[in-house]
Amino acid sequence: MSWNLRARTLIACVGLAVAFTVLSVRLVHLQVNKHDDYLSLAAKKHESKEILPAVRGTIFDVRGEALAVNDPFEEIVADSALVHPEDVAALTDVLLKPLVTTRELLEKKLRSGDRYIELSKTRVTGAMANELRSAIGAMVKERRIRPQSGRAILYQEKPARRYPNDKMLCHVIGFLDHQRQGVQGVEASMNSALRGYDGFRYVEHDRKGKELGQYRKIGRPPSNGAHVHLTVDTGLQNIVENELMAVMKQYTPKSVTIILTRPKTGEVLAMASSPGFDLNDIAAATTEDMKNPAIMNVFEPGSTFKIVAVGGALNEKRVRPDTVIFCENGIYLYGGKRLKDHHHFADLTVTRIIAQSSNIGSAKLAIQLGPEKFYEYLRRFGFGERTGINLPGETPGIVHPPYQWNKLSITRIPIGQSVGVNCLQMAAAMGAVANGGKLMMPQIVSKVVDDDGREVASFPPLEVRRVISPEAAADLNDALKEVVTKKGTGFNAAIKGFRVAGKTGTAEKPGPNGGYLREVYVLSFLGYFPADDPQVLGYVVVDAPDVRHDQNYGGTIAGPIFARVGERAARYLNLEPDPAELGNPKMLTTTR
Amino acid sequence: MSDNRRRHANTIAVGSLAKWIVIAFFAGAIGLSYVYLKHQLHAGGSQTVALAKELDRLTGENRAVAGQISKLSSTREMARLAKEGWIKMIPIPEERIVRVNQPARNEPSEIRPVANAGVSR
Repeated sequence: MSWNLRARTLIACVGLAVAFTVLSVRLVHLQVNKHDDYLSLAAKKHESKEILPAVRGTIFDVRGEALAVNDPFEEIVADSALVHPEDVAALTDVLLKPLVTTRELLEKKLRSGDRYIELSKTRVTGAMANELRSAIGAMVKERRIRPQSGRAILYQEKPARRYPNDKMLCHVIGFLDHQRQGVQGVEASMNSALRGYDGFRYVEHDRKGKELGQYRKIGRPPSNGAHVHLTVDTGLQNIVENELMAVMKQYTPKSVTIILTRPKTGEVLAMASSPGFDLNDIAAATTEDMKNPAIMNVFEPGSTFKIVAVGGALNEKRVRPDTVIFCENGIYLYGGKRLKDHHHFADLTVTRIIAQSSNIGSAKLAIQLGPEKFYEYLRRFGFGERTGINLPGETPGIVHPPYQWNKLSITRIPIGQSVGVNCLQMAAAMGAVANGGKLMMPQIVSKVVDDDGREVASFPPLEVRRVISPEAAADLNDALKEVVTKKGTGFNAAIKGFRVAGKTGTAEKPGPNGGYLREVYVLSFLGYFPADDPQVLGYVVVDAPDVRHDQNYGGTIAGPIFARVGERAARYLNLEPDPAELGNPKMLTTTR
Repeated sequence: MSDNRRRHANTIAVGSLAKWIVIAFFAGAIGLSYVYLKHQLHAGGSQTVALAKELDRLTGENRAVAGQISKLSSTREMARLAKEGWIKMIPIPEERIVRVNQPARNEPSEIRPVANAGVSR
């Protein structure tokens, strides 16, 4: 063998040895050193984490009527790049009916060549989508369209929240944002309970993307949201909302709010404001419409606020119900300004001060208490702080401490001026009088029940504090009963068969540049019945109604609204009327 | 070579052969079983996935139907039906209402009046 051949053989052998060595080193590097990296890379290719979405809980009223439910639908989209031009007509034929659109528009979309195009805004139910799947599958099988065109139609399941009662209870229920998080009402305040938690599992796919069920790994199952039961009764809510619509039509006010509560427990039975909005069509609502005026709007309450000064004076035993106060014949000069009554009252008992709604009498009672003590009662009745209701965005109102008061404040605050409250605060304060002096926290959520039906949270009645003594509450109750008599300002609020206790309010509206607007009032009536065993408390607030000058009073406009709502509510709740109030003592024994 | 010698020289190791046949048989059986079980696993997995999808579909449909029922039985819908005359509700006049329930009191040993008291006498 020549040297040349030997050398070449040697070089080839060495070359091969080097090549195999490099290859071996590389193999060892890939198989040993990079083992984990490539293993995870491979796993990523055929393994994926599948999210198992949790189902949002339902909101029910007190009788178990669903107020917010889940209503999933399928959105039909297309990868129009896959649609063969000759198949467009056949696909349009089958898609036209469920998608409720025009043939021209659908054909245009299918021919557009877009990789992702929404074919219609129509929400297609799961059953309809299945029919569509079968129909398109049959067309492919019968070779009426190409398989590729059949694959171009895609179905995407979308979660959706539906509100069966549309506008009803809109401010209380609230709604969700695009990420399905509550942004208003109970949907927001109870979001953590309602939303649940998504689960997950790791799944493997074959080359075609089909899941390999045998390699499905254990993950975490979804934890569905809990169901929230409200204290609201849709029967009562319907009564209230029908009345709201009638009032809006008759008086065209800026807004109307009506609240019904159970004073002994603080449960809210109905809460409605107009204008409202359709929960199933949020896009059409304005931001102002979405606000819940019952808890978010601050206003000067007017004469309904007199319960604070009178209640405080009675509780401090500065006066008795029959104590006579000189009401200055209708004009009281205090702090350099005149305070007027609507009539030229001379001497009035404390009871009559409430019944006749004397500004001067109420102011004098507050002066007797003194600023510090009167302020203490303002706070005791719950003004200047949130009631704590389970709804977002509640305002605490505006109650200034005495060191910020001017000379007139002690005469203006007792008559519901220079103070800002929300409707629910007023209802809760009157509830304290109805409840023997105990202030209850307003409740809108009664319980939370998990998906298996177990009660996970309950909201029993919660006493905030004792505001006035039972004796003072009874005296004030007697005075409030006088309001709803022929001698009081609220006789239009009387309900046949029930003794009503309440207070009218006719508040001037503050203007934007200070002072008050002329002939623009917030009219209200705040009362409860039966007066001696209160079952229902109602607060009616009508903001700036379009009525004649001589009708622009709380007792004239809000009183009758209270009476109509109260009468229907009493029937609905099956409250037993008092025969004495019916004027027919034989009522109980009458047969047909 | 005599027949006897050939017999001795070319003997078939029956024992050994049988052993290998048995081993091959078992190996084959194990292989086939493996394939069979693997196939079963695959089929079971496919079935699981199909059933899970069916369950999801049914749950979704159930939820959609429940939503429809809620809509159709909602207070607002009932009020609409009543307004349009689909539900005939005749308001009961006040004078036709007979109230028989007495206010309940809390005395535990109290004999309470009942609506049919005196009927049997």
